[in-house]
Amino acid sequence: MSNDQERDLVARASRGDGRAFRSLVATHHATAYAVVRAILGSRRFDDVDDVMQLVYLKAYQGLATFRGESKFSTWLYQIARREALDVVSKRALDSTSIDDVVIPARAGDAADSALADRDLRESIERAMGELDESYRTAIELRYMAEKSYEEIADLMRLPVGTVKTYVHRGKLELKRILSRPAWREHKDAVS
Amino acid sequence: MTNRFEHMDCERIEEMLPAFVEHELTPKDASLVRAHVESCPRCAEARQTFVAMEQSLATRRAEVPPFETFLPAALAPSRPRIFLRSLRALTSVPGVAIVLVMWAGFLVARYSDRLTGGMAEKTTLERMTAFAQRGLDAIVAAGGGDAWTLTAVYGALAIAVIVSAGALTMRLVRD
Repeated sequence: MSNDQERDLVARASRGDGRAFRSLVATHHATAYAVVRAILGSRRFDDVDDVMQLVYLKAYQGLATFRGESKFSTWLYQIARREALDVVSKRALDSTSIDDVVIPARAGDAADSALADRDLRESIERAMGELDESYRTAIELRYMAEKSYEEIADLMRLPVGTVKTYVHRGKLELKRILSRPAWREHKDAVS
Repeated sequence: MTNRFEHMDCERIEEMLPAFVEHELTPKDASLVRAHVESCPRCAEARQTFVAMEQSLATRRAEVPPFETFLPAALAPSRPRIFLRSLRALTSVPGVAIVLVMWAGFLVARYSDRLTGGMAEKTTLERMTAFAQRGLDAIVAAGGGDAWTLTAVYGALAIAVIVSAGALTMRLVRD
């Protein structure tokens, strides 16, 4: 979507055009979802759903005040981040046991060949919860929202090099967490 | 020939592996890391771990639920909207039928000396009406020209006009 098209959609949506708002959300949904998941982690998926609903409600209600000084994606990212952080501070999410983490089912997981993949996905999902929030956000935007490093830098308002460092250090940290004896024991107990 | 990574410890190489797996290193650094990994079983295993991690992370997009799940109730597609959409698709058929009838009338008029002779003095609306009339007359004549055919053709046209006008009005109101 070009900048002009997006500006047009924002203008229409701010006048109450629901279809225009839906188009905007459809384009930037993965970004908003990724940042909410990054902040809330996989601790409580119900919270993620509640926050997402709140994000779109606030975005729809706040469109009239959106001046277009930043991109719509950045504006939505900020709302998603603010709402997720608000939930974290209000509910003071306690550190959840790794056993409480429930990995959502994914289409195509039925085959036996997917078991090993699912095992690694679950391990990564749990280990992600231990990452620094900045690393987690950069990784989720990179993989869950499939954003380029330049787009992530734009959203997070950081230099591209810093974003790359976050992603790479995050992966190194993931590997370190997954290599810990406690994780290996947990994995053995599960399998 | 020695290279600057040859004597580097494995820890330093491992730090570079995420960027190596993502093809984010310069070609020169990438070839140096590759050379080290090929000669170091420990770093080769670490590389495999990052490759598996990369593949697993790449599946995370599939975990994003559809955006409609989270839209405010007022924006979620409701039954009346779905009905409107279906109606709009349906009304495109009579709309096309009307245009075809108009075209049929136009073609009949073009090839009729009797009609074109009198068209010069008519207004655009009168011409269009006459063209449509010609088209309808041609259809009625093709159907046998009896009263039943006449009623059916004009009845279908009336229904098509009403439904299309209704759908158009609803569309304008919605937008």
